[in-house]
Amino acid sequence: MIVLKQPESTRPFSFAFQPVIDVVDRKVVSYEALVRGLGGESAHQMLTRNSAEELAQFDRECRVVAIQTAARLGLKSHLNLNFLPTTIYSSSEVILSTVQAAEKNEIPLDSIVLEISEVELIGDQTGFALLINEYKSLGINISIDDFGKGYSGLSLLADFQPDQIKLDMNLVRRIEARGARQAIVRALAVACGDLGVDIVVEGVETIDEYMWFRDEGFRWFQGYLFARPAFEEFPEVHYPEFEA
Amino acid sequence: MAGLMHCISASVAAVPLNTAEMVEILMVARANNKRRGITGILLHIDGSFFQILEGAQEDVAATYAKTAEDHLFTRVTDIISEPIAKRAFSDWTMGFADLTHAEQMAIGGLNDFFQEGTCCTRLRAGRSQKLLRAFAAGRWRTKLRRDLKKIAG
Repeated sequence: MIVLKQPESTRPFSFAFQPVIDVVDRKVVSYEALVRGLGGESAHQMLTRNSAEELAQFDRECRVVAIQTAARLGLKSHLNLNFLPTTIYSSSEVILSTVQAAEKNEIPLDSIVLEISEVELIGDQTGFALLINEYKSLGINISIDDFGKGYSGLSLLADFQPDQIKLDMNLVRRIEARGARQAIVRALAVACGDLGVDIVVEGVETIDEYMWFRDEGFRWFQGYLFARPAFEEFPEVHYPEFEA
Repeated sequence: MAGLMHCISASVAAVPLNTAEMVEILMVARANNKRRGITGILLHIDGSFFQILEGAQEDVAATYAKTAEDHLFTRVTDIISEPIAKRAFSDWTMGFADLTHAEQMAIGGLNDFFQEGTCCTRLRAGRSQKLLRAFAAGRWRTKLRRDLKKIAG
């Protein structure tokens, strides 16, 4: 169903963008590109439409289109891109298509952040490390998404240090009232501080969740509280009125 | 692929070092680094050292191995070794700052790294800068305990 050379106007998918913000400097540090069907379908609905063989190609084309679309919108910040599930161990040509798209659209490689879900990393960690090193040597940033979801997070940091982690929603939800989660997140903040890994607090929905993280010194956030994803545009950001 | 990498490490002086010995360490390091095309930085505070080496992978590995064997340093700790796209310290064979005396932070423009705002304007200021800041803020420092008592038996 997905044809690589299909002109942009007839593609069955495009992207929504959701900002990652720095609440201290009150600015957008990155936009995460989220794949959407032209009818506004979610990523999950888009994925189940494609057969397994088509996935790898779809994955590659996704990143290319995300880069094109972000460039057209006048991207000035970083750009967070996703790997689709099961495609992260693909060969170097995956890297090549992303690099070519970035160069063609004049987006510097060091403003690209590739998100890999923690749950995807439980398998072949050695193969993964090799692939990641190729990205690192190009200056592309690596982010571990859903960090804490698979309960392998901390041991993952022992062998591999990304540039960024995004806290899993399960750690974020109602954290202001959940002591065990607070303890884990504090420990993570220390470990990531020691290793130069940035933490993005993702999926923040309430002011109480936000305030807890602010009191702990976190400054990078993403979530409905600040901005919902907007289809083919960079949405307006609502910065919280008060500072911790 | 003979790409670039950096190796970020911490260590502690095995014996107290005077200024002359520190200068000697630095001179030797600079000469060796120049020969190998290594650039980087060395920070010191109260006996704790923090080092970043960058260059071709085999050169960085060889230089780090020498540090690890040096009898002047102990608790040599590899914090992060990873490929990089470009050098952060291309002008310095081995920058140096002794944070024990804060006024010396002005050496060679090093203070730029510690001023808030100058290198944090992007999401990823770069691993080197972030870890330099962490060390300046008190992380990765070791105080050797010399008062441990031997347990009889």
